[in-house]
Amino acid sequence: MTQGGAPEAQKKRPAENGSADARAAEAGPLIVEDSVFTGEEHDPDFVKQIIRYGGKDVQTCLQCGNCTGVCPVSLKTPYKTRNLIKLCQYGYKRIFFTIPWICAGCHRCHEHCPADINPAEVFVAIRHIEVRERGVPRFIRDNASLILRHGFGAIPSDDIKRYREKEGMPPLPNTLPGYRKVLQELDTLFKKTRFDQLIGLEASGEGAKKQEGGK
Amino acid sequence: MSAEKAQGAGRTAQGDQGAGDKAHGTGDRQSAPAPCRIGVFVCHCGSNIGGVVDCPAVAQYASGLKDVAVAKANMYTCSTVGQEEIRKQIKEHGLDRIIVASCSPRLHEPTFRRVAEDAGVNPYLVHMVNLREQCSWVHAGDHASATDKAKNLVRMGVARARRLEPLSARELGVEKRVLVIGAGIAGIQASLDLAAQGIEVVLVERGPSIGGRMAQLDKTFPTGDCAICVLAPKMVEVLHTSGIRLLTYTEVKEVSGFAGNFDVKLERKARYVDEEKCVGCGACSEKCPVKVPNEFDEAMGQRKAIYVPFPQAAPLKYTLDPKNCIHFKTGKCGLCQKVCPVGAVDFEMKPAEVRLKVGAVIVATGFDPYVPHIRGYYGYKEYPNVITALELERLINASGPTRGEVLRPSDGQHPHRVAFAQCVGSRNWKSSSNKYCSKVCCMYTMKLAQLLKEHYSDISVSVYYIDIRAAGKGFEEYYHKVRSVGGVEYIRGRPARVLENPLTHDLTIRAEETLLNKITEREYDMLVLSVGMEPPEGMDALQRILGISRSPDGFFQEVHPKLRPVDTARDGIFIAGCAQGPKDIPDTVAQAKAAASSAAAMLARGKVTVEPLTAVVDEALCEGCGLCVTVCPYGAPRIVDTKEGKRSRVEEALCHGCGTCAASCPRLAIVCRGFSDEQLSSEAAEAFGGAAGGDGR
Repeated sequence: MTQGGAPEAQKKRPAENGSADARAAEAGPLIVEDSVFTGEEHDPDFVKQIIRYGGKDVQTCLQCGNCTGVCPVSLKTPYKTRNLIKLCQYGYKRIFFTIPWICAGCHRCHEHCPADINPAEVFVAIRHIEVRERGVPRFIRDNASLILRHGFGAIPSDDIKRYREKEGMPPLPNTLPGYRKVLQELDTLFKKTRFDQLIGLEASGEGAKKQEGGK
Repeated sequence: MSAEKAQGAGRTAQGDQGAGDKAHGTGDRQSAPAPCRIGVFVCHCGSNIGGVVDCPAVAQYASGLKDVAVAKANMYTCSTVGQEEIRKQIKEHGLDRIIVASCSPRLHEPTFRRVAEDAGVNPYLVHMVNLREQCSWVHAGDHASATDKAKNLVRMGVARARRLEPLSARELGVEKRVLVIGAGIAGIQASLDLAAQGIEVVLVERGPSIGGRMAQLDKTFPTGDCAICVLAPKMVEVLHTSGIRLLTYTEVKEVSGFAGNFDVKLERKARYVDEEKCVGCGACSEKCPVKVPNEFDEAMGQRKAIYVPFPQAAPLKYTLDPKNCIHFKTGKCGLCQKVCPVGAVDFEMKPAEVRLKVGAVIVATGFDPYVPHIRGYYGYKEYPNVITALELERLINASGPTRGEVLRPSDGQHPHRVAFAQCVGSRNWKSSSNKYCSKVCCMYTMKLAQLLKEHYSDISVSVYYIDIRAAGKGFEEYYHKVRSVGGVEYIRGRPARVLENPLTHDLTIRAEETLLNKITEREYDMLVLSVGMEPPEGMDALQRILGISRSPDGFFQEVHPKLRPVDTARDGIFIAGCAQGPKDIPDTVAQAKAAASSAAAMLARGKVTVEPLTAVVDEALCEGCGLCVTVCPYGAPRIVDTKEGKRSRVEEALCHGCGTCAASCPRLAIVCRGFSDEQLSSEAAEAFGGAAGGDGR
């Protein structure tokens, strides 16, 4: 791929390629059935960017697969640790914003990695990059707003609420909502750390108003 | 120094031993330089310098400087034409100082010194100004500034050249004898090669037998030759070659002196068996009641407390191990002494010291196999059926502890499913492991896999690898054969976990098979760890004794990785085989021959040249504080008693002219010839505006 081609590709990315990536993600792990990699998906700065955000140099990865072998998550997902590091090497930044990859952050991969890469930290770096460039993913934001409003993230569904009421319980568990002071503190914490701005919440008063229009 | 004396010195000091020393007399230190006739030659070096620096302008500028008789710009000063130009100008203008403004002195200083010498100018009156590495290459973008800098550099060079003094190199005789440390295949080969050239060899081995690691191996790759069958004749040849003095069970304690004239102190450890008397009948060993793990069999087999490590040992002399001997523990037993028909067993034996003079040293100390030292590294030493490749090598060897039968350590049964794990202790960037590739593991694994397949038709062999490195003559073909005819399964992936069934001691290996993109768990009867090579035990002590450097991997360092692969930074000491880094047998033998040849070349000349650019002590100023002795990395200065008291003296042959002592001397009593204070400070003074005071201190 030529150097000059990169910005072009980036410009038209959201319009056209976003959907292609989404399709690729749906189709399965890494095998993109109906396309070949043309180099357009390659972002030459991705490796350096990972280092800038606290990851190690993924170029030294030998692709030995030891990380996958010890990973508690890799058994359950087609996006295995080694695959993800390979995608970093390839500079396929965009794919990380579309596929449902996951890392539990147990750092076992780091303990075993012969190249001393620490994949877990690489994934933290990628999360940083995603937040900077794409904003906070919707599920994180929804969850954060729940925490701000109720003091915890796992809120019973409407069905559960009805069921609870039927059994003579309050619709919400009587944990944090009972402690106004704690909610106040959370609110202060969100504001002081500017976490509310980062995730696009208006953390005003005792609850955040839901933002409109997605991220 | 008077004017005519300086002139004369420049032209005729060749071979005048005292000239350099006299020039450094204290009286001369403050004086202004005498007028001289300097020739400046500015080199274009094609476009290397000429493409950036305006060379004619620099030459023009130089010709206007004080004492410069002529300044020229040439296309290639190092070419025959360029050299001839220098000779011509020396004749025409009666030059007595030469400045070549071109590349690094490392490259062509010897060339231009030779040119000067040919034309009758003392070679140490040549000074090189580096316009390439230190100017044009680093300022390629700014031609005007680069030209200015070049002018400054030349002006500094001229200031220094005025104060250069004629020196002459010394030549010393050499001892025509070589010490070879380590009697593995490298040491053996080097010794045989040297002996064949009529050079006396002292071959020292710390173990009881020669043969080294190669003697432990069963077969060799890729030809499948039996290792001991090709090695044993060489071992016997060592015993029978009159020019080789073999000292086994001996360690090097001290190496002092310099190239051509080393003084060596060796310690012959107490063997408790008189080598002269022992005939190797083995009666002692037969009667000995103590059984301990045999190191030679990687502790897979046993030996007695009085033993030879293996049947083909050379010399076939028994050795008593006092750590395990009942007599040494309790004062009883003594059976071996009773049964020895020749009375060779001597419990009173003491270590003996041997002192030698040698001209060169070849270090061939080999390697140690990596020991998976982290507890439970793939279950090694935790699960009985996880063994190292060298242990398998002993099991599969016909003279090994199982007579060539491969048996599981847990139950003594034949394994049917064997796995190899590659890169154990190699290619690992964790601080506790080795970063380098040990080079031989891929190949010996192929060999062992092949041997297992040949020995047992019902065996399946899997190799867990990251990369296969089969670069070498016939290696890739061997790999092809092992995969096709051999039927060895190659799995690309580093084993992640090894788990043992505690009842059957079978092993389950969990790994990602990366080419399949699947995590698999497979069961095996035995796991063989393909361990890499490490610097051997005792390397630190030997390094201190020899005073040579080591590379970050821990092995001894060669001077130049490509062009001087067997030389060390200490002249006269050469390295061969795995002492320099992991390598296979053909490479080891080749390097041993190279080291032997380099040592022989040095000794064949019959003399060594000692550069005169060394430190010299002014005894009138020296107070004998000994700081120079502490800081010198080469052990050149020592304190001697003189009539006036303690004084430091520098052994010129040991001095590398690094200048550490001169810089550290609190009395300013040490001068480095060719880099004296006034030479350097006059150059520095020019750099800062040319207010040449001449004396910086």
